[in-house]
Amino acid sequence: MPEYKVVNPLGRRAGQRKGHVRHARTLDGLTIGELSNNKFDPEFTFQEIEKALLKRYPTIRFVSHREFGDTYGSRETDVIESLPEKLARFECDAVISGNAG
Amino acid sequence: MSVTIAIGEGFTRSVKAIGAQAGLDLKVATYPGVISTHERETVARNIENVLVEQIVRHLTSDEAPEQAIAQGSSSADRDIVFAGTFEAVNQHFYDRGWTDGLPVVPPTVEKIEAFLRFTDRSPDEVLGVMHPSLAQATIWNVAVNGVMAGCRPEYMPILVAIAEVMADPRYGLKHGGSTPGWEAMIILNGPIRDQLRFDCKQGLQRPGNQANTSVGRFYRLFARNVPRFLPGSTDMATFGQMFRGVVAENEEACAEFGWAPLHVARGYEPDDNVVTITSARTGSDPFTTAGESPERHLEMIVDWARRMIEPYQSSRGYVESHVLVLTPVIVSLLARAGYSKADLAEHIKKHATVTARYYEWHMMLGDHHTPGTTLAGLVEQGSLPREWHLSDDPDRLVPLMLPQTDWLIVVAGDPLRNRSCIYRQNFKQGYATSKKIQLPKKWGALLSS
Repeated sequence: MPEYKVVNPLGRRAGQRKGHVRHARTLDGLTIGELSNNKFDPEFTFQEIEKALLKRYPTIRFVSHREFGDTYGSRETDVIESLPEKLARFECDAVISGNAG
Repeated sequence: MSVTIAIGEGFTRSVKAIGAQAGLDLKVATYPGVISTHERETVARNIENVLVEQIVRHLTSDEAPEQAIAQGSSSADRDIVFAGTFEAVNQHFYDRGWTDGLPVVPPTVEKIEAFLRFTDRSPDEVLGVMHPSLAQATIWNVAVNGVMAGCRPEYMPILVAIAEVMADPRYGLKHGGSTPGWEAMIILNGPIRDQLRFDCKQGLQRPGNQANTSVGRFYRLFARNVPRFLPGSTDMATFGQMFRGVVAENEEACAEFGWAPLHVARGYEPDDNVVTITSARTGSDPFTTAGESPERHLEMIVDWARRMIEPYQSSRGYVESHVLVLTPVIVSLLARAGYSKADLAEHIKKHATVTARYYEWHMMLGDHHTPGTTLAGLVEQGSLPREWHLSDDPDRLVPLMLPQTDWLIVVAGDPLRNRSCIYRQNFKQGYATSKKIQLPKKWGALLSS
């Protein structure tokens, strides 16, 4: 039976693993940015997340997803490109991104 | 630091796989169940009782990041990764998720080199970095996957153009693992159609003709092996579908009736060879239209456009590029009445209307908007043009499609059958993108040899 010597069909990886991010001990006093893909009722879900988090950490400050724009919509590229500047401007310590689905 | 909210276990797998491939320390909080099927009371309870604890844990604990799933190749292009019989090679590839489930032609260096003879470009040339794998699309891996798909070496220039579309950010392949599970619609124009024996007539998309079939298969294999869209992780297709055979346009019929072939309508020269790819979530019924009056045909085409396009698409600002495939017998009737392709596209957009009452009812049914959203509100905030709210009459007619919507009208299929078909595109995911096919300098000599 003939034997075939074959190569793999995948592409070479171009990306590099980013460094591990250290986390906060508490969320109190932190600023959390909200990113939305405008799916699954984000106004309501972020409102409920804020309420639930504030019960636990009353001094969290939230930056609404409306400040960043819709990462799913037709302006996706612009919205994503503007993120680093906006996250810095709003002094966000953390981001909650939702709702992936 | 960040946490992503994923809906259910499936999306959690997907987010983790994509994050890991991108090398991101991505933490995922999983919403339990299918949020779209939950009323607000249930959503609030799940956020309070289940989701927020996960969000807090991910933001405050110093957990080690998950290990990346190595989806790219770590071997050099020409490294032999396996040797064995046809069956053993296929089993090896299948076990690693490198096939589409059908037997593949073993990609030996000799076969790959036969493909490379049909391009003047370097095998190392990088066509782009593809998401979600962040792997490079190269001339080499185009050839490898072309071999595997059962293509002939002379198809190589077309395969390269297809990969160039896939690597073009405007095409939006990075969203190719979305839940509609769309598949590419590859449209071919130019003299290469006959040189490589692509079929443009009766049954052109049925498996059987090597050119149409194997090039369609190539797209899906390449999508699987280079960007690495894998069902169960990075490919979240709800159902999924088979690859589509290439649609080559019947340019002779276009010429006979004075219609521009698709590539000319998109700005290319008639003698250019061009690949145009657009996503298609699904095709319509191959619907029948009848009569000698063009109006009867147009009415039915518009009616099918109305059936295929949903109100939520324009309500969310989707600019799309749908496809209408017409057979020559229908084109003859429309052309005789003075319609060009552009006229037809405008006619569809103008006449595919629905009542405002239906539009609002439908756009709210599928969880596409915050409760309470209205057409008046969308117009007021600038999300829709004013044509969507010229009055408060709920029975007024409003357009289904935004004015920028593109219609790719293609002439193909059984020349003497009065059926047409509409393919619904998927927003920025697989937006219609064209590439000119670059032929090697010695194309003629290579073909004759």
